[in-house]
Amino acid sequence: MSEEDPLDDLPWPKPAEPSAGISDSIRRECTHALGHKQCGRAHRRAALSLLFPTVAIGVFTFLAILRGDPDETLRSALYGVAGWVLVLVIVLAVGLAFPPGRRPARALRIAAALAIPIVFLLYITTTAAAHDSFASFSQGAPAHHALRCGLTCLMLGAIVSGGVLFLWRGTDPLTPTVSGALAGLTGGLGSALALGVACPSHEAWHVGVSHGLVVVAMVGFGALVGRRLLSP
Amino acid sequence: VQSLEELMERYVEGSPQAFSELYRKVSPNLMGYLLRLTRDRGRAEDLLQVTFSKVHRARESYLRGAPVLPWLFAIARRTFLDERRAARSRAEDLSTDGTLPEPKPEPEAVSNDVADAIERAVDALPEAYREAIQLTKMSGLSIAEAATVLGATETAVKLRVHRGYNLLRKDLERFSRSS
Repeated sequence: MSEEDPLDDLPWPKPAEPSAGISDSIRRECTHALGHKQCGRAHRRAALSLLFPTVAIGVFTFLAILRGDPDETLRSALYGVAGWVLVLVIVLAVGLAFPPGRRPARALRIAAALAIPIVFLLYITTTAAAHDSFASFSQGAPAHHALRCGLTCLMLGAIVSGGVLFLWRGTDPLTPTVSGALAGLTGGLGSALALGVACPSHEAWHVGVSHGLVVVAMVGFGALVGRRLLSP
Repeated sequence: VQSLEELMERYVEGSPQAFSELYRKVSPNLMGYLLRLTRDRGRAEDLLQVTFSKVHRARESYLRGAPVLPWLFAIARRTFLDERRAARSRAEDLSTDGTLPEPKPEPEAVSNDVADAIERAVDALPEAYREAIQLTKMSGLSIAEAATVLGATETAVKLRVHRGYNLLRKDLERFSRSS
């Protein structure tokens, strides 16, 4: 506090010693069976977190190649993926690669968790190759395909986000919800990019609803689960 | 002299001496903080034990370089909030004869001591101001550390402390006039 603090001269309560019995009990519990462990490092975990979406994208790219998608389509999809993976690297580097208490301001991390899914949604809908009406998207074969694709994307997102959340479990008592949201963003974006490569549809409604909204859902999922799982 | 961060790292690596030293350094501040949150020594000691139990279980999740004091205070605060929520959800428990239990009367403030007056005045502050003052003035955290624990910006914590001070000053002026 500053030197001219007006209440500095007041007799503020002194720190309180816990009773000897409680202290002994805590010391016994906390020094029992102490194995040799290594402290985790935030930047290593952030690098490992990138592995989950990368594997998902790799597997789905492989499936797309096996299915024999036209080279040109696949190439352009992979250009988009490369750009968004770069965004993901920046998110992980800024949002999670430092230990709790040394991370950037919470407001900045919240802004990233909220803005990136929206920007992604706008990007995939505006760059979609086809723009059908909502009526034709919402019935018949396109609707069935959107449902199947959306559920696959959601499940993949939950698996990838779950893996990232598990990797960070118990590490952040300070901002577990925000860190969870960023872990969810990692999983959601990884899943949407993976499905984006493998999915044959490039229609705006389809990619927006079945791929883009999943990223938003995963940010919410990550925030909810992270609140509990990331706090020790 | 080892920093709290170095002691924490040695504790994670398996040194009981490091834990004892860490405990010696941080437990009075943590106990004081929990005591002021609960206003009950027994509950505060229980929460202190739960807090260290969580720290022990989560020690492998401690990331190298994380500031230890905010890390511990955040765990203690979360433990208190969880316990308070659980206690509120138990509030509908009936006594054995099927009636609602009588609420316990608040302990009366009888002392005119200045320290007691400060405690009472701090207790009467709005929660946001009270927490900021408890962490900075009463538990010895810096503004930056308190901001980390509360998940707020340093400016917001400074503002809360300042506004809390203004309310405290008015309360203490009343106390000095009456005594």
